[in-house]
Amino acid sequence: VYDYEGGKMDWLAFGQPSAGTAAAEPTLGDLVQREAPRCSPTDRLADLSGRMAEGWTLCAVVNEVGILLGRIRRRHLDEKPEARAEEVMENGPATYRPSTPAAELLERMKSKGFEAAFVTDSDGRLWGLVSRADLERALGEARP
Amino acid sequence: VPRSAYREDVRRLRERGAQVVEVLPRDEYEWLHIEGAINLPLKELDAESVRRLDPTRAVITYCNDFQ
Repeated sequence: VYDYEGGKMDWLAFGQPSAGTAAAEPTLGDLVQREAPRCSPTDRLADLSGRMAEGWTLCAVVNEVGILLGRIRRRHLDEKPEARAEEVMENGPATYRPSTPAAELLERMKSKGFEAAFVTDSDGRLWGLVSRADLERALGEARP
Repeated sequence: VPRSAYREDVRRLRERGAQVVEVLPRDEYEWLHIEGAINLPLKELDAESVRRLDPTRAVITYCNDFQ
């Protein structure tokens, strides 16, 4: 007999397969965009413009094992193109787990007024970015 | 005495046919559980309920988190 120390919350936080009435509800793990741009702390902002093409507004700064350290906004690229990511990044952005229901984050985005959020596992490893538009589409609330 | 298992252990043991048992109350199990897990609520655990388990296969028990 084994005792799974992390339990259900650990399993769900890492996006592992689940079942039950809530399993049919979309979660961030279903909607996260894993191709979202990321860079290392020593990358120069001028080199990120290609990665932030196609409408990305945020770039994740991650360490060598993929743990999220901070974020770069698109405007940072224009303001300080010669700076390194670690010099201008906003430290410790709010993160959400893959098991978080999409509806829960959408409500938070509406009440707090933000458009995108990082998704990480419980160890802080980046999964990607989820946008308000993605959540609204998945929940059938697309804006005109 | 149960042995501690971590996420990777659980994944590996499931692949080898281990039985996964959620010991939380039925409503919490029905809300969401590990895929393939059965529910044996701790408060209802007795010799009869344990007979649902195959004694020849490993058993992994879990609750909500590090409790």
